[in-house]
Amino acid sequence: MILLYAAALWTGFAWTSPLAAREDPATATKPPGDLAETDNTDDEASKDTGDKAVIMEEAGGFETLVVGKPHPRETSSEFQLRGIPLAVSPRRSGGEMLRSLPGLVVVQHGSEGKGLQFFLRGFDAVHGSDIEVSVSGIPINETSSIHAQGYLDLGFVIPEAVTGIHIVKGPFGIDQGPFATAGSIQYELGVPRDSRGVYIGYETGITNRHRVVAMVSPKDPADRTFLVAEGVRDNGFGENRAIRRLSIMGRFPILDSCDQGRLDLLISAHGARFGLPGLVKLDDVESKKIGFYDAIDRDGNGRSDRGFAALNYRLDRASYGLKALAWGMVRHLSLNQNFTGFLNNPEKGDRYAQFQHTLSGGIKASGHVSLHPTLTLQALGGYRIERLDQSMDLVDPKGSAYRRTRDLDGYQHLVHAGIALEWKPIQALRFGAGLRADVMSVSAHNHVDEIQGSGTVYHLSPRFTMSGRPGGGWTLFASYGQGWRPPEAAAFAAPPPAGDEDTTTRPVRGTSSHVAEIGVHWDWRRLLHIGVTGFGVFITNEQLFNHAAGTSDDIGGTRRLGIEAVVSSSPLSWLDIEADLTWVRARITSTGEPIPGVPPLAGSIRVSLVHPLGFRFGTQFTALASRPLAFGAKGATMYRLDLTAGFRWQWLDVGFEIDNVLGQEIREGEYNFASRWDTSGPFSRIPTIHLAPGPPFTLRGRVAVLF
Amino acid sequence: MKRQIAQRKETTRKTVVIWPVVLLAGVIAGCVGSQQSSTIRLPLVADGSTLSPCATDMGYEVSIKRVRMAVAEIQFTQGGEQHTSVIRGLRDLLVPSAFAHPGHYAGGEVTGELVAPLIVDLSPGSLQTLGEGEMVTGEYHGANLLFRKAGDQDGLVPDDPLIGHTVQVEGSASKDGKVIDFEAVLDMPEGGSVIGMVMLLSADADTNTTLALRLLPTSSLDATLFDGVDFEALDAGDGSTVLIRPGQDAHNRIQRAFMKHDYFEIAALDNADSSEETPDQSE
Repeated sequence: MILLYAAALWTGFAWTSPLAAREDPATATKPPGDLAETDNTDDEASKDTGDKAVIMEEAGGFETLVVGKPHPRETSSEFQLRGIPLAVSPRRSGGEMLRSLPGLVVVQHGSEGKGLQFFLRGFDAVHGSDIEVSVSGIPINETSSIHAQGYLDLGFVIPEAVTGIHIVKGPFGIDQGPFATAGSIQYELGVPRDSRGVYIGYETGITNRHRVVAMVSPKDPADRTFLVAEGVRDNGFGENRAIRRLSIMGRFPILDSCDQGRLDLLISAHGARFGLPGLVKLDDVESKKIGFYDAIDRDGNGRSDRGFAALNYRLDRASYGLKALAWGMVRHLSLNQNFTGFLNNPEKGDRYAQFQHTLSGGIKASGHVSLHPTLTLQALGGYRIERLDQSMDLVDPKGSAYRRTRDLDGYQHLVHAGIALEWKPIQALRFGAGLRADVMSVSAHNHVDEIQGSGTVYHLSPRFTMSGRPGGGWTLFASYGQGWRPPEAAAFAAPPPAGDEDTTTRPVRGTSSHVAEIGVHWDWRRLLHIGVTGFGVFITNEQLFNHAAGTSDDIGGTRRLGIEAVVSSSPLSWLDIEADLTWVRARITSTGEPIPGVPPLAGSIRVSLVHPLGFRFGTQFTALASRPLAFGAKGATMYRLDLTAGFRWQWLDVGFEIDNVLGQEIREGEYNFASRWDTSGPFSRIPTIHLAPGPPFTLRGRVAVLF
Repeated sequence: MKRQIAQRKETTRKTVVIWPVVLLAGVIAGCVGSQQSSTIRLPLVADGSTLSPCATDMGYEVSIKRVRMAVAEIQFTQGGEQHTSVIRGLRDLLVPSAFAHPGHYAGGEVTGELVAPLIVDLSPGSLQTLGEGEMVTGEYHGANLLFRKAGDQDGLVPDDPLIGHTVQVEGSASKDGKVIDFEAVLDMPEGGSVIGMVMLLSADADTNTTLALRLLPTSSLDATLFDGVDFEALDAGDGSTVLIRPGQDAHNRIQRAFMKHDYFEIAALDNADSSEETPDQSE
């Protein structure tokens, strides 16, 4: 059977796809980087072209998207994950899907339930401090999170309900808000055509994983309605990595009118309980004191809950368009972790319990109007309010809190407005210029020090983009923009400096990045796409996280210079091949030292296919060069090969995913710091490398039925 | 059409085969394992050359004859905690203070140490070997001194006044021609330490120097260890040594001074200086 289908596959390989054979570029299949939207995809990430014409065809049960009038990319490094590559991307969780984005390095140093750590363009974005993420337009970064500024928990995103992920590296559009210092990622929700109807899937794996997904959506691809639920129970690939997760997400059209626009209600509820294994010492692993996948912290655990509802409105006209979003969200995060053992407190230990509860709501709107056939005006604005309550306790081995180090509540108000002009003097030339203003106002009560503080900070972000197509398949890009990472609410109610009784003039501020990039792309007959982008990121007041002090250290200026290259090809309608390579030199300006944790060289190769006969196959090979760690240590080279495969036959879908096909002991995260877990003898405070292992060879099988 | 098909097939084959091979070859060729921080070991001495007389705000000229301190550990730090606490305080206000996990950047973290129960014994001009400190190579700006209580394990004579305490200072205070000898025995609070004393050292694999722990009776701000202490008020007038003990106001003033980084430094001696060191006086 396998041989038969393999033969068919390779026979098909020799076929000329009816779609690919078309010479009319207006009906060619998804060109790299183009928007290829389904009608049911949500709108926030899509561009306001106002003149898209999407035709959908079906090949082998999998939808093929034919874009009538491709929207040109606005910056050199933006990237869309959708279509075939998305269909074969691993679906462990919504967050894990980000591993398929070129140039983005993702590290999971907890378990599946904890937020990921991100590295992008020389940034250690920790858990989201420098990457803005939105889901269906709703901002997900948690401003002033107790765990990390801009904390991102994407566990509520159900992979089956994602129709596209759009990344913009750099802050170049006025729609990019707080935390876009390195870039922005937008999730688009919807249901692919091949999964419409009633979809019930079950997944199991060698880690005792059980995952059930149930999804209901109308067969009509133009209907945006869907309701999807996910339940996960997994022991994880090592000690104390178990996860239990329940998520539900749905979208319900309220209004769908050509004249009055369309209005959707989006709801989501999510709850997760998970273990947190901590990080193991490299020395202990090498001396066999502890296994590579063991947990140094067997008591670590976490809890993450979220619920939100949003109303999403969109009106498109030939000469203008309007989008509006209103949402309310409740969020809870608890983490109980210990990374340093008994280093700081030899008797009671260094375990901490963090708690955060946030209620938030916001509105935002954007619109564009064509002032002239060559000139388009875009304007946007929004307001968000958040009520936060957070605490952190140091906890002894019996679980009793022995010291409260944070007890803070307060309100955050975030306001933004922006205006931009797009000028296309000729079809092949485009200029964009805009200005965005962000204002953050905070009132906070620090109950530990009994300090009530308030303040307002703002940031103006000019943004420019330019692109031109001189012909011959060449496209040139140039962009500049400023990104902004807001300060934390706690900074407004912090104790005064030693000896300073004046608490009224605290210079609280955020971090701004100046980002510039130039790029050149070349397309050859839609068979080959090559893009090369050079970028520079400059920050004058960089702050990097310091665990020991519990703060982020102001290290002065930083500079990141790099080059990204992407080569892709869609030689057949059902085959997509892509390779990317990113080199970055990230340095602390004053010392010339490398920024710890940032891989100077990262690359990946992805081969994705969804054959008309029903086969699908995806593989991704990722490689990272040795990463500089704090204090001159170096991380290991890392490479990883993942694979997915499956087959769709009418109402039946079967498939499997393999993490780490080569069975490497992947040192996904490496950190250099001191810890003390053995309290019986002498210990050293000299930093030593600790590891967060990536998954071993892990097989997951999946079966789904569609009605 | 056939030509186009053949062209596509060829392109596809090249794409599928060449890229993975090139990247895989590059990765394998560049494969390296994890590499711990490079460390060096440097000798550390207690240097009494800075124990010159100091003029206090009460008008006394105080000369230190001998200082002994029970030290649990000396730590060397890179970045972060530095000489001016004001900078640190301002920084804390400016920046987020969320707790994520360690290892992103560890400015101010301890990257070197000399761990051993020590009795640091200083007198004017003395040079006492303390041991060898191990440190990660890098730029050092600060050091910490962790105090402890002296005990039986220190080899002191049974009636040594330092036993059960942390610091003993012997000296004399003179004012208007009157000289008052004094002896202060200090207790430190649990976990008492000196955080952020100055240590400027660029340590690389070739660094070969001796580090000197120094006590500075007069700080760079012209304050002294004995500011606020009125020795004459403590003097019984019978010519006996003034004893300053825990519980007294004078004790608390001197104790607080001994926990300030302004009165300590670790300096790098050149080899000529280090060769003059004397045998360990604590033994």
